[in-house]
Formats: sequence, structure tokens, C-alpha cells
Amino acid sequence: MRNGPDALTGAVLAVEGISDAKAVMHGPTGCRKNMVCFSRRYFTRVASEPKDVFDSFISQSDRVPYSDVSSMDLITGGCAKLAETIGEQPSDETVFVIGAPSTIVNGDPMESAVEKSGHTEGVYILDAPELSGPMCKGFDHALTQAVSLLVRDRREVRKDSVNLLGLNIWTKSWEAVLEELREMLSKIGIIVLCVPGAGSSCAEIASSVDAEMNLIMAPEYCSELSKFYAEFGIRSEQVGIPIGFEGTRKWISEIAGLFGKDPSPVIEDIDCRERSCAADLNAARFGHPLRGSSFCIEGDASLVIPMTEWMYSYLSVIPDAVMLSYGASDEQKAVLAEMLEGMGCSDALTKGPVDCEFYLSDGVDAKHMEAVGLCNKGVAISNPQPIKDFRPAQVIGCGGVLYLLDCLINY
Amino acid sequence: MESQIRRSLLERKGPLAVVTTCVPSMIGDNSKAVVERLAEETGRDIRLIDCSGVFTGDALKGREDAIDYLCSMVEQDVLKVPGTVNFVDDGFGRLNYGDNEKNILALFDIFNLKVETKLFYRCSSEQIRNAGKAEYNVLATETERSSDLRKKLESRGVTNYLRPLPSGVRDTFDWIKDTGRRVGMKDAAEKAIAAISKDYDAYVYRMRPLLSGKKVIIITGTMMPVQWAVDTLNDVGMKVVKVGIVRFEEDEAPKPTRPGVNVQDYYSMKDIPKDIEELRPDLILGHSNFRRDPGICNGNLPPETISYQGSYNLIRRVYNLLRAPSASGWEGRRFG
Repeated sequence: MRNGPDALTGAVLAVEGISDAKAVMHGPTGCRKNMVCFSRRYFTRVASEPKDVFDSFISQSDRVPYSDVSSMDLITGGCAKLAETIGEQPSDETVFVIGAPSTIVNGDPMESAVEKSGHTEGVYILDAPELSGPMCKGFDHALTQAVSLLVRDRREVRKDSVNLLGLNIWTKSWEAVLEELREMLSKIGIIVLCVPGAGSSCAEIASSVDAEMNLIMAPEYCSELSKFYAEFGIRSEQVGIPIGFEGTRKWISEIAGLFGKDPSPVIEDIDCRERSCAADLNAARFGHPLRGSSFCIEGDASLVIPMTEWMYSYLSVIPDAVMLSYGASDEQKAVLAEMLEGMGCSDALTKGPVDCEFYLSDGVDAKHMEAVGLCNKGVAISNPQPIKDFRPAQVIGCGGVLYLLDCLINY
Repeated sequence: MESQIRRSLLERKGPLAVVTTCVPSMIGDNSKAVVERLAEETGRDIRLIDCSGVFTGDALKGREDAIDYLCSMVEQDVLKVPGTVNFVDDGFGRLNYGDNEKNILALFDIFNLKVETKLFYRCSSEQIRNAGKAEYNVLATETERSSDLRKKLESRGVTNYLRPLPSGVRDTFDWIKDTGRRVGMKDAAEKAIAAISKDYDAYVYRMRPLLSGKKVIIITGTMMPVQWAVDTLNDVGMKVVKVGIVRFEEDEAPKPTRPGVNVQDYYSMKDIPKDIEELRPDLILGHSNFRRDPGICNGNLPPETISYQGSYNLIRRVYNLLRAPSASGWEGRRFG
């Protein structure tokens, strides 16, 4: 049994991560309600929030509108309801229709509903997400389809410009992450044209084909998308997710190398931040007690692998159990296995959650493990979370170090 | 001073402690007379804790005065409530850490003992007055200051002390046996020991091949009991080649160890390179103050040591430290 989010969730997140697009779900309320919560919580749109507190019940939100099919509709056909739902959407909005499992299995002809709605401009039907497939694949496929529907021809190659691929609104404090990454890249003369699925607009996606290069941060979320961009002659380079000061130094140096740029202005900033942080750890003796404690970690391979390495090498905290989300590639699994063997912790791969000091996972599981006493402290490294981060609380980049130290030390 | 005391008396119903600093003594305030007069006038319980350091002594003196005052609040001849126990400690720093309290409460559950009050930690004046009603008392840590507190409380009728809270498996077995005898539940004690022992033996059996033959130096202060750690490490086949005692307080004796343990009193950080050269340890355990950058595996003793869980925590910590880098990444970056 898998508890994690599935391909349907990934597909909805891909669309809801486009700042001016909307996912319309053809399905019942049960499939839709979590999507509303995720969309509102991780990419709040001020204009979409109900004005009246009495309208704040989930079905009143205009995020992820749905056709509300019932059991009878599954017999007689729910497309009339879908047509009505599509027709209610403002005509200037880009809409992507996603089928819920029940209507997909039922084979509802959603194209006819679009025609009947009288609202065909800017309304697209996405392929059915793979039932019970991994979230990352659902995200990748839906986003690739959305991007393919939105992009125009490549007009020019904008020198020193990139698209960041693999980030999404499930990434913890993704806005803060993007701010830090954009700032670093800008300091070495590289501009970010588009981050598909993580806040970029339809127009930005349309012009993303002008980028000189794609930087792949989480390959499991963009293998299909990077192949799509390759058809436009855009090369994609895997740079990974920067975790920790050293990881961030390597990340920016590698990118600078790809573009023939000098990374030293950013490296100096990182060095300065690291010296200050290390001095704080030393001055207050906060860093020492962490040595020799242990952690379990669970999440996407692209995040878990560098984070495990950082916990071990920077803080000397030992991995007790490392669990990858569904969808990790064989290559990622092999990298992890080799890394753990080097740490003398190969057995961490074969264990499920075990009693440990720190449990790093999505915020809900982290809180749960803490509540049931399986760890001293649960640390959220990804969404979903039972709380809202009002302050930036990212795990990526230099800012991520500070958040993680706060969690690991101040409890 | 007088107006502030009067205001505080209006704001609070309970006893009032008036704490002074250096300045009132320097300018010659007769705080004692003011407090005594107001106590007589209002009929309220007001005490002076004279903490004007430059005149009355160091922090310890102020602390003792405060403890004396709190102990004087304890009412004598209070009816005992069967099956209850007070925790008594100088600071509760150790007991309040992590799972320590949870682990020790599990031990008290063996004998159906319920905790009445922690003296003196987050307890009300009502609880302090009725501290004598607990059937048993137990020191959370056995230090000279805690023992001193025990004597003061005993003089107020807070008597009948169990063995101080144990660290590690062996100490816990002794504690369970002794407590079983004291509360008349020997069978429950034996049953609990058998269950713990079975689980611990299985854990040791599993960990021994990973740790056997490794040599350890423990560097600690005088407050920390150390024999339990030596015993635990021996259980998994490790060899404690030296216990170095660093002295902060000259008059506090190191915790006792059994014969055969190589103890060096008045240990210094300067001794570390020589010991690494001569004793060839695989690991140095001790507070970070004592073991700066030794160049070999090193780390703190685990903070959760109370009860038999302390042994599990120590074994797990030692296994982790032997796999950890000898210096954490951040340590190499702190000076640029």
C-alpha cells in the first residue's frame, strides 16, 4: 500500500502551478477536495479566496472547479455537468480539464462537453493521469502536455537564459527557493525565463522555448518535459537540487561552468554566510550534540539523496532509514546505494521507519511520527504540511540550511 | 521597595519572596526591617532572600537561601498518600531532557507509583506546603547539592527516599530490585527485570559483532556517573581504555567506579594527544569542551541516560559515532 500522493494529484498540481491557469476536474467532490486544499495552501491566489468567511467551505472555493458527478451520472453520463462547469469559467482564463478516475474508467467523452460549453478558446483536455501512478509522473505528463499546448515557435535563442525544470508547488516554500536561485543566477549573469509548474504564467511558458538551456533540478518530475524541449533544440543539463552551503557552491559552479561564467561573486556570498552559520554553531555549542544522532528520511530521490549526504557530512548525523518516494529511477537508487555504502549505512535502505532522533519527510508524516513517539523531532522537508509556512521555510539553498538547523537544534 | 512589596501583595495571594541585588546593600537599605515590618502589619508570608552578591556571597549562597526559604514552607505532619512519589533534584536539567522522564515514569508504573510533585520545578506553593504527603521521594540525580536539598527536606518531614534514579541497565536492575523490596512488590520487580533483560540481551547480541574490540576513552566531569557507561560498553565487547575526569569544582569528588577501570582524575585536554598515541582509541566520548578536534571519531555521551534506555541510547550513539566523519563539515568552516 502506498500512502503518498498519486498521478492525479501531480496532474492537478502541474496545472495549478501555472499562475494564470486553472484545473477543472471532471469528477466527484471526493477526488477534488484535497486538490483544493493543496492549491489554496501552496499557491494562494488572492483573487480566488472567498471574500465572505461563510463562503470559505471547500465547495465554495473557485480553485479546481469540478463537475460534481454522482453515481447516477456515471450511468447516464456526466458530460452535461462538465459542460456547465466549463461554461461557468471566465472566458479569459486558460483551463485544463482533468478527469477523475471514475469518469476516466467510465470513458466520458470530455471533448463533447467542451464543445457543448460554448467555451472552446483556451480550454484544453489533458490525458488521463495513470491511475495510482507516481505523483512525479502525473506531474511530468500533465505539465508536458500543458506546455506543448501553450508554447509557440522558437523565435530566438536568448543567450544566458534558462528554464528551471522539476520544481513545483509541492516543493517546500517554493517561492523563497526560486527567489534565492534567481538571485544567485542573476549575479553570474544568467536569467531564469521560466519555471514551468512553479509559478510561471502561460505567457512565460509560451516563450520558454527561447531559453538557451534547461536546468534539471528534479529529473523524476521532468524527464518527459525535457524531451519535449529537446524537439526545439533546447539542451537540458542535470544540476540537481542544491542542499547545504557546499551543495549550493557546487550547484552554482557547475552552472557557471556550463555558461563559461565566473561563479566567484556567489561563492563569496555563500562562504560568508557559511562562516557566520558555523561560528554560531560553534559559539553556542549547538552543533556538537547532533554528532552521532540518527535520522530517517522519506521523500523524492532528487531531494533525499543530497539531503542525506548533507546531514551526514555537515552535521555527522547518521541515516537509519532512507525511503524514496514511488517514481525514483534506477539510476537514483544506485547512486543512493553507493553513497550509503560509503557511509557504512547500507542497511538504511532496507528499513522502514525506525525509532530515531529526527524524522525528515513531508510535514504531515513528520508531525505524525513525532506525535506517536517514533522520533524526537519531525522535520518537514516537503509538502503537504499540516501548517502554513508564513515565513520562508525552504530546505533548498543557503536559506535551507538555516531552516533545517532551526528544526534540528531548536526543539 | 515598600511600595513595590505592597503592590505585589495586592496582586498575588501566595507567599512573597523579596530578592535584593547589590545596590540596596550598597546604599544601606535596611531591607530586612522593611520586610519584617510589612509581614507583621499584613499578616502575610513575606521573606527576604538577600542576594546582594558583593556583600552576601556567590550565586550558591543565594540559591541556598532560596532553597532554605522554600523548604521552610513545607508543612510538617501532613497525611501521607499511599502510592505517591516526589522527584527531588537540584535543577532537573537531566530529568527534563528528551525521553528521560517518560522512561523513568515507565519504571514507576511497574510499582503503580504516581508522581506527586517535582521539588522544586514548576510546583505551586500549595504543592510545596504539602510536599510531605508523598509516600516516597527520589533524587533525580545524586549530587552533593541534591543530597543537601534532601537533608533539608527530610528535616521538614519529606522522608522515605528510594534509590536515586538509575542510569543504564545494571543500575536500573538494582533500582528495580531495591524499589520492589521497599514497596513490597518483589514479584513485579523480578518480572520486569526478566522482560528488560531478555530484550537487552537480544540487542547486545545483535550489536556486539559491530562494536566488539573497539577502544574508547571517556572524558567527563565529576557530576556524571560513569560506571554504567563502562558496563554498557563492555556488554557489547568494547574496551574503555581510560576514563578522564575533568575537574571544575575541586570539592566535588568524581562518581565512583569499580576496580579495574583506568581512571585519571584531573584530566586535561592536553592529555588527549598522548593518550591517542599510547592507547590508540577508536573513539573519544565526552563533552565537546573536552575533545576539540582530536582527529579521530568523537562525540558527546547521549543526554538521555536515565533508566535502562540509557544503555540502548549509548550503544546506538557509539555505533553512529564510529560511522560518522571524525569532524563535521561545519566544524571545518567556522574560522573561514
